[in-house]
Order: sequence, then C-alpha cells, then structure tokens
Amino acid sequence: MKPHVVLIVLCLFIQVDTFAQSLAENVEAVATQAAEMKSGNSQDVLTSFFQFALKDLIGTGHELQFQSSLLGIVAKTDPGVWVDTNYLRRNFARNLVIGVDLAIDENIRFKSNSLFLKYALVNKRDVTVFDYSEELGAYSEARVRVMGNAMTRFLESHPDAGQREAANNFFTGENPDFNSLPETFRTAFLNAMNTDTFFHGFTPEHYRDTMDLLMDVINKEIANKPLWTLSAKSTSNENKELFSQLQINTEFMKGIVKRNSAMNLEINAKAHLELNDDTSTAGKKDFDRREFSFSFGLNWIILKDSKERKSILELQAEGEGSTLIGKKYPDEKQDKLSANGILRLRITKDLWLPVEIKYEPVTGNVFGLLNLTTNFDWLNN
Amino acid sequence: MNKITLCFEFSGGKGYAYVNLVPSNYGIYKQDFSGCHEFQLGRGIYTIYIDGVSPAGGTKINATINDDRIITKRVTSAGHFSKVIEIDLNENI
Repeated sequence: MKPHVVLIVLCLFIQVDTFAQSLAENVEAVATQAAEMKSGNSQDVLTSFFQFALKDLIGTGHELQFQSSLLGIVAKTDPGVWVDTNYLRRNFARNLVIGVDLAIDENIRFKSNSLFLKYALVNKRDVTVFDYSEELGAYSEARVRVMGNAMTRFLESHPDAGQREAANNFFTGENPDFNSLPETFRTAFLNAMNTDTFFHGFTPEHYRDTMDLLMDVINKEIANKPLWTLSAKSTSNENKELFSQLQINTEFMKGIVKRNSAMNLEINAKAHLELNDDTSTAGKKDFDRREFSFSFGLNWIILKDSKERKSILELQAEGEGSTLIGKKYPDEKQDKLSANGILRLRITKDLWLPVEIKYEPVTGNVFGLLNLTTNFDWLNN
Repeated sequence: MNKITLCFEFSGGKGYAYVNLVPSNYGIYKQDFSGCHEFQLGRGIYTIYIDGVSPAGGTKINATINDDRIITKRVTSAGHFSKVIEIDLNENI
C-alpha cells in the first residue's frame, strides 16, 4: 500500500492524540513531556530527571530512595543544557542515573545506606533524540512543497503583513482554523494541495494533522523499543562498615504490543548478583556469601488516560529464581523461587502508588510492600 | 538582484529538513540540507519554511547578503510543526 494511502486511512479512522511534544516550544518542554509519557515501570528502570521513593511504608522497616539522572543534576546548575545542540551532545548525562538509599528499622534507627550508579547501555526509547527522517521524510518533503506553492501563489495577490502572518500561523499550528484565513490564501492552498501528487484528495484539516498523527503512531513504536541498563550498588550497614554488600544488576525491557493506544505489554528481564560479607567471620571482609538471581516477567499497562495517553495503571508480574553460589549457612536453602507482582497506580501526574507482593511457593510465605514513588522534573525551581 | 548566501546548520537526527524559500519558491527537498546555498534574490520579504528535524533538534540560519551583512536566525526545537522564518531583505540590502 502506498504511504499516502496509508495516511489517508489513518486520517479517516484514527483520532489524533494531542501528544504535546509537537507543540512544545523548547527542548526542556520536549524532554519534560517525553518523561511524563513514560510508563511507571520505565521510569523505575531509568528515571528521566528525579525520583523519590518511600518503600515499605507499613512494614517493620522503611526505606527512602532518591535517584537522579545526571542530566537532571546538570540542568539545575547549567540551564545551557537546554540549548538543543548541548542537549543532543549530553548522551552520557541522559543515560546515567545516580542514587542513594537509606534504610531504617521500626524504631526509626539507621539500618543501612547505599550508593548506586546506573547506566543505560541501550536506550532506543528516547523520543527527544529519535531521528524520524526514515519514517517521516517523505511527508515533510511533501508538506514543505505544498507550503511553498501555496504561499507563492498567495503572495501574488499582495497580502498585507497581517494576512501573511495569519497564513503562516496555519502552517505552524498556532491558528488551526483554516476557515478563518483569507479567502485568497484558502484558494491558493487548496490549489497547491490538489495539484500535489502526495496531498491530492486531502482536506486542509488532514494536511494540518498529518505530522501529529504520524508522530503519534511512531511514538508508540518508540515506546516499545529496548532499554537495557547496568548498575552497581554499594551498601554500608549499621555497624558503619563500608561496602558490607555489593550488588551488580542488569535490567532489560521492551514493549511488545504494537500501535495500541489503550494498553501495552512490556517484557522485563533482570539479573542480579549480590555479594555479602560473611558476618560470622568478624574482622575479615571476604564477600563469601554470593547470591545470583534472575527474573523474567511482563508489565501490563492496563489503562492510559483517554486524552494524553499517559499510563495510569500497571500490573507487573514476574517469576524469580535465586541461588547461593558462595558460602551457605547451616539450614539455609540453596535455591529459592518466588512469584512477584507490582501494581502501580498513578495518583497524580508525578505520584505513583506501587504495591508489591512476593510469594514463595516452597515456603508458602507472602510478603507485601506498600510504596510511594514520585517522578518529578524539579527543573524550574 | 543580490547574492544571498543562506547557511543552514541543523542539529538533531541526521540534519533532516526540508526547506522552501518563498516567494522565490526555491524549494530544496532533501535530507541533510546542512551547509551553504547561494541565491540571487531581489528586495522583498522572504520566508523560509522548514519541516523536519528531531524534536530536540534545532535550526540555525546565517544569511549573508552580498558577502557583507549577516543576519542570523535561530529556531530551536523544530519538532514537527513547520517552522517559518522571515528574512526582510528590504531593510538589509
């Protein structure tokens, strides 16, 4: 099927999502809006700017976690990062996250703290730097051709500056009402469109909405692209021992449902290596207790809001297996299996309420955690 | 007629942009329009229509008139609504 036939079909049957990215006036707004469109799961894997989480709110212990992308930190001190050329150069800053954890017990006494670094080895889902030329090049070319032809004909009738501006505002999207434009422009535009091989048969409204429509379709595909992170975490315990635990984590995610506005499924795979100091051999730091775990599951984006298509309800389910590959205490199980679930509800634009459940089928144990997570940009303060 | 050199610098993606210079209706419809292009233009108000460039990308245009005067126009975040840049050659020639 020819591309313009596909487009006409899309124009007729799909309502344009008002994805605000195309209306954004600067790079900061583009990046902020792109962050808001990410799923809660995706923000947990790689936060765009800042994330603050309170974990295990009703349990016996509590944990506070703060993480920030390097871009978020840099932007607080250097607004120049939002100059387009600077932003595009900051690939490392966009993909590096720095975080700290603080764990306390039920008596609000210090248990441990951690520092971690995370880097996205593969990040194909950043819409702010995606090159749309392959998919949209032919459409852009045709749009400019029609614009040029229409305006050249219109200018032959010597419109005043106000009329010229009004016509230009139609092309930029500032004035979407075609019927409010000067009649000479409307005639020139319709002639230009009807003599164009690509836009022949389109209405002015379809011409106006072409890019939003296509951007929306492509952005759904970008949201499905892979993201793969690698992170390292060091933990100090209540005995003020530095590096009482070291962790290496890697996480992969990818969407699998194509072009669906209402829901999506994301594959999640994680591998985790944990090195713990053996506390039975006091005074000697050996990291002899080593545990490897692997999990695989799906994150179901159950519900998106009807207007902006932001995710508001997600259910993540995964199976996890772990094994001790180092020293084992007596009566300690070598291997463990569990089924994990996280239900994420977006309460406001920035605030998520994740509820975590973990079930171990061998022991029959069930653990539950109620968390509170906020993803915020904090850029203008 | 005056020699006008328009130099385009695109950031974002692969410098993907499509440009039309009106009313000369000199359209260049190709990818990677970066670099300088020479035109012979009379007095008048010229409008450069650009479509393309990645969302966080931008466009910088240096217009040099008769190898002398330079006008710099910059549009950030071209996104996917078309951008319109007017250059008034009545005042600058």
